[in-house]
Parts: sequence; C-alpha cells; structure tokens
Amino acid sequence: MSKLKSAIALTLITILIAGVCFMCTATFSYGYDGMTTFNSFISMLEKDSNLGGMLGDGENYLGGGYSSIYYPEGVISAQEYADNHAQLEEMSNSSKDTPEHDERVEALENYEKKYARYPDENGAVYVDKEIVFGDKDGTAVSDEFKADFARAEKILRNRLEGLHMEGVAVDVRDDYTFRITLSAYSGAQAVMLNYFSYMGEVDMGYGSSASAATHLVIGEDETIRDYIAGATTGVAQGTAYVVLNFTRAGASVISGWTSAATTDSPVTLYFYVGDESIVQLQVTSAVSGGQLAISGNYNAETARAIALTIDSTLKGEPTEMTFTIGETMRLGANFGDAALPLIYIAVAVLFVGMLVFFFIRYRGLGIAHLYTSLSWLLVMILLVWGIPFLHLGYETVMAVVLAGTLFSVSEAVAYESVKKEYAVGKTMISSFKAGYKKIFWKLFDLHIALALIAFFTYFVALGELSVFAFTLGLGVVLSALCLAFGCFVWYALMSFPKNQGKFCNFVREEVEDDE
Amino acid sequence: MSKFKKPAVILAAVSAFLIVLGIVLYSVLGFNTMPDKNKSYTFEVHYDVMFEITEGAEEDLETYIEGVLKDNKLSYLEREANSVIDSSSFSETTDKMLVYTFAEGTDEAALAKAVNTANTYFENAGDDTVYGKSVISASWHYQENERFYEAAWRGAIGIGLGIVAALIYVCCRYGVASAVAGLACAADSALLTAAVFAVTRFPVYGATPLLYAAIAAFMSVLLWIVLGNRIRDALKAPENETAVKADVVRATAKASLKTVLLTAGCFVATTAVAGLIAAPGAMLYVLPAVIAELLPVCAVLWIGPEVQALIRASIDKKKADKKIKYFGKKKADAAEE
Repeated sequence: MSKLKSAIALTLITILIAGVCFMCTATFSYGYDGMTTFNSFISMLEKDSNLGGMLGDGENYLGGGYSSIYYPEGVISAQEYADNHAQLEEMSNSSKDTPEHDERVEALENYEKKYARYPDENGAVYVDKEIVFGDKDGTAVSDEFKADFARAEKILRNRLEGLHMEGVAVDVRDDYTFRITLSAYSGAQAVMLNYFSYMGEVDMGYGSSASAATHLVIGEDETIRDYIAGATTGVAQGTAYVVLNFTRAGASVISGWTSAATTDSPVTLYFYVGDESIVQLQVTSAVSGGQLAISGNYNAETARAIALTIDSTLKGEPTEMTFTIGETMRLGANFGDAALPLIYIAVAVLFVGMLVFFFIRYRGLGIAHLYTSLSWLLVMILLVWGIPFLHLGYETVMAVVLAGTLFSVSEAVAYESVKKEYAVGKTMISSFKAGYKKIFWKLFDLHIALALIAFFTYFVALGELSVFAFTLGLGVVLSALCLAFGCFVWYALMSFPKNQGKFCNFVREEVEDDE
Repeated sequence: MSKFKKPAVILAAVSAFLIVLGIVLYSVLGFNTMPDKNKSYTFEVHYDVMFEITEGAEEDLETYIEGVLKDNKLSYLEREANSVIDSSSFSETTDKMLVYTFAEGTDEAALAKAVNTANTYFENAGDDTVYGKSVISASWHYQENERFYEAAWRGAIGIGLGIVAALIYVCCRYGVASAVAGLACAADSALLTAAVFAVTRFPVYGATPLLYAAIAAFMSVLLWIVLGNRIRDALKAPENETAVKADVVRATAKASLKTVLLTAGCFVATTAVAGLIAAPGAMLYVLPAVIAELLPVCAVLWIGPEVQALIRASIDKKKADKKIKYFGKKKADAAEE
C-alpha cells in the first residue's frame, strides 16, 4: 500500500473512531439556553438493579428497581391502622356533646375489636380477625387463609419468574404480605405491579361494557381451563400482542359470541382475572380458530405482563384472595451509587494497562492495537446499547472483560508469531504473511469454539447467565473480526516507518559466524 | 503406558470427591447466598417533604435513628434512602423511606423497642420541630425470599449444551481423542467450580455460581484449545513420527505448562483488577470469578492430556492390531497362490 493510500485510510479510520468515541462518551447540552441535551451511548445504556445511573440530563432514572407491598384483604399495615384509629378517635372526641357521639365511640370500639396486631403486640401489621383468623374471637391464622396465601404466593412467583429478568423477586413480608421487586430496566413496572396483584379465576364475557358483560356459563364439572388453555405473547413488525389459546370448546364459544359481529355492530370481548377486566377486544367479524392475537396499545413488556397474569392464573390453583397495593418505592442501585463510576474506572484501567503493555512490547505497533481495541470496545458499547435485551450489569462487564482479554491475548499471539518469522531474517511483509498464516487457523478454531459455547448457553439459559453468554458470544465474534481489521491497520501502518523492525520492536536472531 | 499417571489420578480423585461432596452439600444446604439477604429484617422510617426542605433535618433524623439502633444494640448491614412512589399513578411523591437492613437472627424485641422509642420521640417532639410539622413514622419488618429455580436448571443445561457444541467442533478439527479429553476438562472445571462454592460455603449472590461455572467451562475450552494446538503440532512434527503418540501428548502437555499458565494468568489478572477496583458489593460478584478462571488450569494440564493419551494409546493399539491381521492374511493368501 502506498504512503498516500495508507495516510488516507488511517485518517478516515481515525475520524470514524474519534467520532464514535465522542458519541459513546460525551454528554452535553446545546441549543437555545442549553435546552437540548445530547446523551452519550454509555449514559443511555440500561443499567440493571445492581448498578444505578441517571440519563445524561439527570432526569430519567435508568438503574436500580421498584418495590411494592401487596396486602391481602384483611391485612393492613400498622401505620394504616394507626391512621384510621387516630381518625376515628378524633371524630369520637370532637363529637362529645353531639348526638353522634355514641355512634362514633361504638365505631371506634368496633374498629379496635375488629383488628388484632400480628404476630404480637410488636407486629408490623394488623389483621382483620374475621377474615384472617376465620372468627371474630380467633387468635390464630386459619388454615383456609394460610392455604389461600400459599396459592397466591405460587401464582405470584410464577408471574415474576416468567419475566426471566435479573432483579426480580417475591419476598414474603411479615408472614402475610408480599414485597414485589422489579428492576427499573424491565419497563412497564406500573402495569406489571398492578396486573400481578390480580387474583381469582380467569373469566371471559361479551357485551357493551366490562361490568355489564354476559359471562361465560361454565358447567358443573368444568373450569375455565376447559375453555382457555393459556396465554403467550408475540411481537411482529414492532407490534406486541397477547395470544390467547383456546380449547375446542373455548374456540366454539368465541365463535358463537362473535358470529353476528360486523363493522357497524361490533362485539366487545372481555377477559377478566378475578373481578378485574384485563383485556378488552372489539371484534368486527366472526372469530374462528383456537387462537386470538390481541394487539392494543401494548409494548412487549405490557403484553408480557398481561399474558403472564392470565397464564399463571390458569396454571395455578385459583385463590379468592384479593390484594391492595401498598407502599411503593424506587430503589437505588443494590451496590451503591459508586458502583457504576467504579466499573467505568476498572474498564478504563484495564484498557490503559493493556495499551501500555502493547506500546512497551511492540512500540509503534501499539498504535495498530489502539485502533483495533478501541474499535472492539466502541462496537461492544453500541451493541449493548442497541440490542433490546442487553443491559449494563456485572454479568455484562464480566463478559466484556473476558472477551476483551481474549482479543488482546489473540492479538499479542499474532504479533509474536510475526515477530518469530521476522527474527529468522524475513522481510516485514513476508514475516507478516507467514506469521498470520501460521496462527490464523489456531485463532479461528479458538474463536469458533468459544462463540459456540457462549451462544449455545445463551439459547437455553435465562436471566443473568443468558445476558452474560450472549455478550460473551458477541465479544468473541467481534474479537475475530477486529483481529482481521488489525491486519489491515498494521499493513497500512507499515508504509510509514523507515525501519519497520525497529518500529515494531522486532529484532533479528543473531547468527553465530563459524568463520 | 495405557494407565493414568499418578498426578492425574490424584487430581481426578480429588475433583471427584469435591464434586460429590459439593452435590451433597448443595442438596442439603444450597449455596451460601448470604449477600442476597434472603432472610432479613428492616427498620423503616417513612417521612415527608418537610425533612427535605428543612436544612439538616434529614441528617439529624439519620443521626437520631442510628443512635436509637445503637442504644438497642442493633447493627445494620446497609442503609438506603428510597423515594416513595404513588402506587396508582406511579409518579414520584415527595415522601421518602429510610430503610435499614439487618441480618437474619436479629433480636425482634430490640427492633420493636427501637420502633417504639422512635415513634414516641416523633410524637412528643413538639409542634415547633420538624417532627411535629411533618408526617413521620417508623416500623420494622421481617422478610423471606426464595430463589427462582427455572433459571438454575436451565442455566446448567445451557452450559452443558454449550460445552458439547464447542467440543463437537473440536472433534471435527482436532479429533475424537482431543474432544473427549476437552469434554472431561470442561465438565470437571464447571462442576468443580460450582462444588468449590458449595463446599467452602463461600458467600455468593444466588445467580452467580452458574455464572462462575460457565466462566470455568469457557476457560477450560479456551485453555484446552491452546494446549490442543500445541499437541496437534507436536503429533504432526516429523521428529515424532515414530514416537509413541501417548508419550508425545504427555510430553507436550508438560512442556506447555508456561503457555497455559501465562494464558490463564492474563484472564486472572484482568478479572482481579476489575474486581479490586469495583464497589464493595461488586467485589463479591467479580472476585470469585478468579477461582473459576484458575480451576480449569489443573484439569487442562493434568487430566485432559492423560485422557487424550489414554484414548490415543487405545486408538493406536487398535490400528496396530488391524494392521497385523491384514498383513497376515495377505501373506498367507500369497503363499497359497
């Protein structure tokens, strides 16, 4: 390659890398009065529940998670009891000389009799004795309530587990409440926390409104499972939808309900979980077949929340327990606010350390490695940002560190191979060709085998492991591509130095002269 | 010649013992997922915007609460100040929740006493103080969490499948002997890594043992290919044409000690640096990965080559037997003619 061509190629590569590097790392405000903000790709990476972080402008939160308390009917927090009690007490005190006084005193007494602090006088919740103990004078939680709570727990666990996300948890709190945790990157947390609290049996109906709908008549020996088999989700052309799978009997019912539907007189189908309407669907023509794909204003997360709510209810044992959503909190990063900056520092230290090694061992050739390693890192950032199911977490960082090390070691091995060829007296170009030829299949085999292990693990695993495996697979594939790119950069660089061996810190082997 | 060498036998026996022990301990006790705080107590203080707008009030509140906890001999694991969200609109409110987390086994009576002390203090602080002007209350809670299991079994199957897929490729490129030996190394490394965490009761986050097993499998395949390349070159070398192949495999493995250690060392060094710089909670996440990167070295250097040598010896023997029979028959036929 001529000097001019090399200079042009390297200049273009430099401009491209510098531009992408700027877009990946720089966040700044511009426009009138700094009203518009450009957010770097790094700041826009979604962070998992362990790492917190704000979007560049500091307004949108992208890390940590959310937690909410579900109170079953008959269980209230000590704070709610205290507030209600104080209110009733105040009403009773303020009405001392009025005709309502006795009534209010009685209301206060009834309230006190109705509730008992659980599990003892120091408990964090109050329970309605009639509902939880099964008796106004009871002192122990009834078996019926316990069984209902256990069924609800199983359904909730299935819903949360079905999300297949890091940072998702169901805690049993104070024996008879649930604490649900979702990571911030899961999206649609409000919808999920709301729908996941729906319990009771799945039901369907049709009519003009959810409350006035004609419900499915289920025979004595039948359940809703004889009509609806399950629910899944799908995404086609950017539109997310919920798929309801019907049994033959269910399909026949839906077909009957919608047989008279036209554009002028549409039929609205309603699907419920417990008393709550979860899906409404206006049908303008007869529905046939065993599947109903429903797309509304859903995104992938909301569609998944709906499908999981319906499916877990169908697959679990039904419970009549109803839940009220209590205190909801936005949680910070599990590993603290310093976790994210420290991770960036760690990656930067490793990157600089690796470059220092290459510049010391291979002098000018370190420039080639600077180009390739920067390209590798920047493309990895863009991929983690652009691929929807990837996010920044420790598993991602681990995968990047492993794949980055693989790339640097592979490039060092390639340089050493060329160095050996050069040492025996070949020219730089022929050393380069011979060295890479010798090492090519070895590195190729290594990368193929490692990419296979990573991607096969990804296809089966869930959650953090699948994110780790996929990122690792991407890093390995990218490593192979950047090694090829490295050949080109090296080739281009070799046009400039007069003493190529000295430029690359390569030395010839000393040959002993017998004479 | 066709027997396992002593170091490999010892190593394989130790590995097998640890793996079996690990499986037993995992079945009984599971991993030590203490960092997940699966069973914990919380002391929570819910307060409103008055504390935020009153200078120094939040700091004073924290100081007071920490004093109350100290008086009741309660030491917490972590403290967070979380924003309270409106559960119906999901918009952020001006309220906050100060949450102190305590380990399992914390004295419930002491927690309850601390809550009562704090609530009494808030009620009696006087209307002219920030406590009197605002809505504030303290409570304590116990919570228990059970891990999800689908991710665990699917992860284990995924790693197994990944290893098999990678080694099918190795089989095509390096031969059956190398693939079987690589499979032995990878399976040993992955299982041993998980077993080490189960046996030592080293505290890990619940999702990480499988992650470490995957790293061990990855490292094992990587190191095995590094060694496999050298073994393949040695077997093809003209000077080894007449040598016993099993001996060549063993000798190459012995001579590759430095290369394998150097390769593993690069990965260990980068992970260790990343782990040491990381935040305290993250250290517990990243640093155990060093174990996962080191354990495969033993399997790759000692168990793998022995397995490959054994298979090579067996293959060579079969080939030699075939040759003897073939020539014998031909010579006899020729003599008859």
